[in-house]
Amino acid sequence: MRAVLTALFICIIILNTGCWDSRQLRDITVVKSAGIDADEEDQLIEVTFASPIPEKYRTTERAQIVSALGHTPRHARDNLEAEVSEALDLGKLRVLMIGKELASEDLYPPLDIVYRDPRSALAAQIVIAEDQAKDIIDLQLEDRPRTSELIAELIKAAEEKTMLPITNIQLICPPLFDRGQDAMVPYMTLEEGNPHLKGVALFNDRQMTGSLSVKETTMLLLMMDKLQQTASLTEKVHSGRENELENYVTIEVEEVHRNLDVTINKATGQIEVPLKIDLFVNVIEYPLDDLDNEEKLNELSSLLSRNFTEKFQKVTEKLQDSNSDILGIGRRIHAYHYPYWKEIDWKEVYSEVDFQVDVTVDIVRHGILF
Amino acid sequence: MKLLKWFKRDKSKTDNDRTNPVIADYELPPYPAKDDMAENKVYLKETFNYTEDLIDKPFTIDTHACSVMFLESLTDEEKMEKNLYSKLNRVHSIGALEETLTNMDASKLLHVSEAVPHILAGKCLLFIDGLDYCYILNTNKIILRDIGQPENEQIIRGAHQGFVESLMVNIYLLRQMVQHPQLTIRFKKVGKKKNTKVCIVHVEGTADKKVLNEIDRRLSKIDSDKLISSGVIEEYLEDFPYSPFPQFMSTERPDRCALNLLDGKIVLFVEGEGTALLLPMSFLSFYQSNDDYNSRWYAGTFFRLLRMFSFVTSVTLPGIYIAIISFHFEIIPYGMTFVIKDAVEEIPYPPIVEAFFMELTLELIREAGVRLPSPIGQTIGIVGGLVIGDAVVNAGFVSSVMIIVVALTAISSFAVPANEMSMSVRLLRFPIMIMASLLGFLGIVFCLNIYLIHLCKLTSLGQPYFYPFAPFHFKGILKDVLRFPHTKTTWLNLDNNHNNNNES
Repeated sequence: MRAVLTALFICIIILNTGCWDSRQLRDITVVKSAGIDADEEDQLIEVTFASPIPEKYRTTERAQIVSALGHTPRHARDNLEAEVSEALDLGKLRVLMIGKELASEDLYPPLDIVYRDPRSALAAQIVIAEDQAKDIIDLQLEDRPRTSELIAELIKAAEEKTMLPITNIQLICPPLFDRGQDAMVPYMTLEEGNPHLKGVALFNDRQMTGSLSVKETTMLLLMMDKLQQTASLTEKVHSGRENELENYVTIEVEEVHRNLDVTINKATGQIEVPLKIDLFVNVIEYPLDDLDNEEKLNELSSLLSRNFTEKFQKVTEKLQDSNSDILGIGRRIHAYHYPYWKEIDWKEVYSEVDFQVDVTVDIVRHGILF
Repeated sequence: MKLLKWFKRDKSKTDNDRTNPVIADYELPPYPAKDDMAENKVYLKETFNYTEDLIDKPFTIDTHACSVMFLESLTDEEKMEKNLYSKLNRVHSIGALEETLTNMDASKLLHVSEAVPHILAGKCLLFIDGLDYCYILNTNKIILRDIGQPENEQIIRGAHQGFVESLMVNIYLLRQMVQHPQLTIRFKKVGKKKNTKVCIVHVEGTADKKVLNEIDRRLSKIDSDKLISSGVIEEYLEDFPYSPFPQFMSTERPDRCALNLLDGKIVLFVEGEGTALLLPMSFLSFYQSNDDYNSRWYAGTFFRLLRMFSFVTSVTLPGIYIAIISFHFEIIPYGMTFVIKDAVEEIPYPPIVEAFFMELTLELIREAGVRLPSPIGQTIGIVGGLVIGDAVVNAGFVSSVMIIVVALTAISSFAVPANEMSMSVRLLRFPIMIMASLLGFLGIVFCLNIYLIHLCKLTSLGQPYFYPFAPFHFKGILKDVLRFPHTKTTWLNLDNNHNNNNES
């Protein structure tokens, strides 16, 4: 009898060790969006957490928003624990927003805790806020879903329309450390009290050095051959029309054929990147019509080709201005021209790269109008 | 070692403890029939302790006093009339009477004591004054239930017959379905006093000889002196009496037995029971229903897969829920996190208490409703299911998600076609719930591993229980898990005997 009791006792002791790790859902504050900002005055970091309030508590506010200062994000979070009723948990984080100021210094230090902790939500969206991240997290919009949901859904919808690259905390990590490629992160601002997508923030290594607008991001993604479900572009093709609407055409890209090559001109030592892009597009808005006429159709497509070649070229120049090698040209040089790669300092050479963009637009569809 | 000793000691103790009061078997000293009829009568009455349903009907034939004695409750009036009274009218001498009796297959007994078991079986005893022997006449009453649809094993299409409490009728039903000379029936008396008749049915040639011999050996080892039922026999025949899984199937359906007989299985009947034992059985056969074979094969396959899925959900669902809300809430999809968080926010107990409370309540409702007449049973279901479920959530004792989980679990445990498997499955989820509350998913995996190891080790009369998974056999899995069209199964039957060829 005693032996059985002992065995039972040992069993219970061993099994009960598991209770130590239990985290009851009801005792946890589930943080849905978090913001990290630099606080200039004291060289501190300010974190802001927003978590929805359960309906059972019948409060008027829908989300609980708290913020605190600290030397590191985790330090600030520990300071927060003194303020909230239940333990904070970032396991279901949807949006992590980082202030531009902090990102311009170095993006990695505030993210370190996220990569280090096995429980963190690596699939959460990472967003750079143009101003303070806190201002966006703090929003309590009455006619919209909760801010965290709003931002996450907004980004997801934009990703599907090739307006933003598909990113999350995990996916931006490799380019942050890759010498031959740089990262881009969705870039957001507040416009008239509402969160507004501005495009992407461009990074040079781990520092934010510039940004692209939404339209430029779409073009960049097309250059990267990363067309999602659709991508729509609006372009001014005429200038003399009385009705302003008739000057524009809106196209939807259905397919992209990209041909990117990296060569080194032996004579000059110049890196040349011929970038040939074939866009197969669907004209979805063109009030002038007459597209059943083949001549006009060809005219329009050559017009578009010319315009886009110019605009795409400008995007590459912008990339070079912020010294952000999003296209991963460095990687190709590392792979195909390794001796050359060893000779040069890529970050210095990058701005000299000669991008030779050539866009061909092929109108394959123009709606059901005749 | 100590632990082992403790077990041993315990076992011997329980053996000694078995001193339940049992009616002593009657053993009468031989009592030869006397010339004097009155003396015989007194002996018989005394033996039956002057019971009042022992009828004594005297009559005279040719001045000879005669008497018929029988137990009123066990004899058939019509048979008495047909076999005895109508003939007595035509007989006018003792010689003629004796001749008639012999023609009627009446047996002559020299000892009155020998007649006692016959009277107990419903026969009647005829004394003739002046003769030192007596006659036994076959007048026993047979009351049989109709061969109707078994209540707890209903099917939609196919034969709607069920076994009844008579061995002969049951064998009749089987022989109707399997009209083959190789269908062999063996009777055996089991128990300490050898008074329970058991019938073993098999098809010679397909059934495994070794298994048959093993059944025979184990049946002769039964030394219980209690009334032996199929449940007792089942436990004596089992390889692993401590296993939670049923190793034999009990069924009331002759068509199921017939199918299994042709498949090489053995059917065992116990006298006086309307349930047949099918043995040996594999795990998957508990999840197959005759309906599978009678419906279109798409439907058959779909419902079979659904039932297997129901095994997984009924065993693990409450455990998974507990593990999720106390350890791994990250895996809840974004949209649901707050629905669940809202639901559990103000529950005063840990999830395991909540789950046990609800599971036990449900089991209670089921147990209370199962033996009640159906109108009351339905009321219990409504009171239990709707009223308690709703009130408990409103009062905030149990979260609404828990009610959903418990209800789903209960429904999936009822989806098993075999009742005994449904019982085991219901019990199997409790260890999983406890382990889930202690170690989360890790605990569930531990527990499922133990179940899996046990299933792989388990044998039913030497046949692997978890076939075709444990001795892995791909075609067997296809055959048992899916249901292919009957005309296209030849390629699956190539090694049909694989199951039987395994060493037993």
